[in-house]
Amino acid sequence: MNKGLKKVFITLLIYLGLELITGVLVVPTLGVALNFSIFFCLYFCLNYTFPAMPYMLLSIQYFHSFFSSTDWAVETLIALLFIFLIKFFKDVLRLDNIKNKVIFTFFSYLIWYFLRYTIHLIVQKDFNFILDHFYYSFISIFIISLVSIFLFKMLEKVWQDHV
Amino acid sequence: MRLIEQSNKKMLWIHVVFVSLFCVLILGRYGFRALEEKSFFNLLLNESLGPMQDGISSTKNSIEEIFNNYIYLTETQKENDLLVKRVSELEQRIFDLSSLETENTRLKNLLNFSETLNYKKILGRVVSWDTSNRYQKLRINKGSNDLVRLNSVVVNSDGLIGKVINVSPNYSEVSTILDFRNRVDVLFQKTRTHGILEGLNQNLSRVKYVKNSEPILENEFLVTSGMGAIYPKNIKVGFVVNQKSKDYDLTREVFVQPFVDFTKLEEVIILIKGINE
Repeated sequence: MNKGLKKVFITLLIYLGLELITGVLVVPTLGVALNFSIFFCLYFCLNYTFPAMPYMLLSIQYFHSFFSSTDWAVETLIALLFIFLIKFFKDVLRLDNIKNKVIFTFFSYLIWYFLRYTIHLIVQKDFNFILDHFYYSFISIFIISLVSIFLFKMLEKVWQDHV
Repeated sequence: MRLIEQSNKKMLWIHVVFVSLFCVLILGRYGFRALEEKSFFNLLLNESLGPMQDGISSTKNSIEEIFNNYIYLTETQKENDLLVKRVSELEQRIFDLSSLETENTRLKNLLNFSETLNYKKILGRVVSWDTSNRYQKLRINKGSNDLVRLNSVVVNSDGLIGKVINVSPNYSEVSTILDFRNRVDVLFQKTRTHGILEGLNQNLSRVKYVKNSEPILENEFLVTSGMGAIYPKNIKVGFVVNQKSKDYDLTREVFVQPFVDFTKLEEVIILIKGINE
């Protein structure tokens, strides 16, 4: 199998594993939905510029929509916006230590959620409902920010020699 | 495969625009997905785990039900035993209360009756009957310690019972009006005729020395005459049930049914002469 495809396949496999663990174990026990699709999108936006990336982001978001109530099209648009944002701020981002990676993940998630709920607010016009969702999202943002330490290492191992 | 292997910013932006347009078109065509909607995975989990959860839940409920039923039955049996015991206690209590009520009524009657007599009254209880002479002699639980004396008159609310013939410190023996050795001067209430009453058998007494010329009526009441210095005057004694006379006799015998039912005698009043209350 092609090396690049193999990496994509492994990445999607890891992602699927995380989604299943979250869907089967974490959500029913803790009641918190952990959205790993955002982290994977962030990771690719941060490190790579290969042309197939938009399709990969779309696949991740589409895949995620099976496990979540989020709209894959909206999420893909936000992910594409993040490609632009990250490329724009890449020079000021210093992700050479764990602390910065955690902070980056945290704020990126925050912005992502803000964008998502703003779009939903425009469409659904139910401020209280959106606020309630946003409040509960904080818990998942904290958890994912902490877990991101291990996820960064894992994905770096898979994609270490990529261009 | 160059799409993945090679870094190409220009191509990347082209594809970004392409995918963005695709997403916008999709949103325009199908609209936004509301956040309340359940995901496919959630529905799948619900559907796939539902029967399993249902089975586990039913099994758990069945086990719980068996266990609870067992505990319930055990508890019910214990409770039943306790209730049976309690019912038995309550039945006994009802019986006691009923006896007390009857006794209370009797005592009230006695009290009402004794208020009319100007004697010291002592309440006594029948403790035994003389077995050889049924209803002719009885023993009461009051004696000389209670100031009972020889010839003290014994009555109850129905009428005359008899007199004390033996006294011991705590008990006394009473000769009833059914005793043939006990004689009482009596008066027929309407005709005011005198006679001497003595016991005949376990049901009746008889009055002797009643003049043949006196018109004695059936069911006429008899009271004590007060003569003889033993029995006070006007204590009810009984009523006439029959009379017998012979043509050649000057007197006749009158048979009297006592007012007192000696078969149901329990409490009595002893009248102590010479001591007022």
